[in-house]
Amino acid sequence: MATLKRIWFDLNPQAATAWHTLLADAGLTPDRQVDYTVGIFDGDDLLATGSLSGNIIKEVAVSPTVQHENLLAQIIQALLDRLDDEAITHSFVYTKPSTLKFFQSLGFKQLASTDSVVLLERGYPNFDDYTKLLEESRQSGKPVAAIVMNANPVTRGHAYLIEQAAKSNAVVYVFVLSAERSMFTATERLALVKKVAARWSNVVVLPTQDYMVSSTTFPSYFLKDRADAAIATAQAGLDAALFKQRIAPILGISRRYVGEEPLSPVTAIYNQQLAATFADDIELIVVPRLIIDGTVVSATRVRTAIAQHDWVTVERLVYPEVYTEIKERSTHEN
Amino acid sequence: MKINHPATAGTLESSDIQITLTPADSGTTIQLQSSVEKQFGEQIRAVIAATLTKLGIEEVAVEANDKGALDCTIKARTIAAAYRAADNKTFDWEEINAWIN
Repeated sequence: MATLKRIWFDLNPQAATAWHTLLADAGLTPDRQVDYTVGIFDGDDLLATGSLSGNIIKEVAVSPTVQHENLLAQIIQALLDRLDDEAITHSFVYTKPSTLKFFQSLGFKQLASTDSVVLLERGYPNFDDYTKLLEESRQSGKPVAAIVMNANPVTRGHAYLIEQAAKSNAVVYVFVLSAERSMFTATERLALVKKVAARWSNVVVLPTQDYMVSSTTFPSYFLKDRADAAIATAQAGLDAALFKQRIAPILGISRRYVGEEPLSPVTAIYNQQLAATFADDIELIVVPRLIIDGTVVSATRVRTAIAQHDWVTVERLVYPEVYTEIKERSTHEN
Repeated sequence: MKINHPATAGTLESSDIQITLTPADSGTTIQLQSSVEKQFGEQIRAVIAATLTKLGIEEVAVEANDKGALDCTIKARTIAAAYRAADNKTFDWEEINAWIN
């Protein structure tokens, strides 16, 4: 009789080894960077497994000997129950196109796809709700441009990019990443970008919520070649597909502006991939970086200056209203 | 009964049905995914719709993921999801028993 159990890698080396073998046999790269793992066991034999990393379902595999027994449903149900315990009602899965239909039969809905990866979501609030938010924020006029930024924090460089887009487009939508992996929280970053963007009447600032594929959430383990370049290509391809297939049509976006990143080969790949996926449907416009004091302005430079309490540099790189907020925040922390 | 927020009942296991109710602006919409859609899709939709009507829920979006549930299961899951969505923890069994069969 098969039983479903949680797998603790550190406490149960035997199960951990079985887990590695099962995933490797399924053509996946075992990645222990997960929060929660379950397995279905028959005695000591591991028949199926699945894991969670935040609200992303990962590392799912069923042994070839027990396929067609619907063990996948039990694994997914166990993971959804766990999310339910944590009051998380919305989840994602990245998978290969060949297994798309299994996840669809479990209530997952396809968000975007490329030749190598499909992204699906399940639960609520979902893309329908995000669509409503975008529709409510929609402005009339053409052409329509978009910029996606983390803005951690928003610099004069970001503002320069927004300005370039605002000058030559009727409407500009600025998407600020909602993932919480930065020095400044998503709420802070969004609020600061809104303040700065208020200079241009045709700029609308929106959160990305979970609908921009970030390299930090993108699991690369099912890619055969896990080199940075391959990961960046696959992730950028999916991100570009999601943007082109789902987001751009809602707002009528025909141009996307990105900042030039001359020093980062991964970003160069990313931009190439965006251009390739957008093809003739969305024009990719690469804007050279703003230079202050002989060096390109970047949020990294601002964060370094903040860490060093170099307020003179911070003040030169960001707008006054942003500077005031950063300074105030820093004073509170000390 | 008034639905306040989205709620789910049921699992993805064989012979079960997972029902998610979400408040809607007007009317009832049922989005069904079923392994027996061709044979019983209409019947499943009818059971869900009838149960919601009995509960007095008129403005709701239903998402149902069916794995071959019997009518009694469909009713039970719909009722449970509705009570959860309405934050109602006191089941009115007498009232439910009056119409459930």
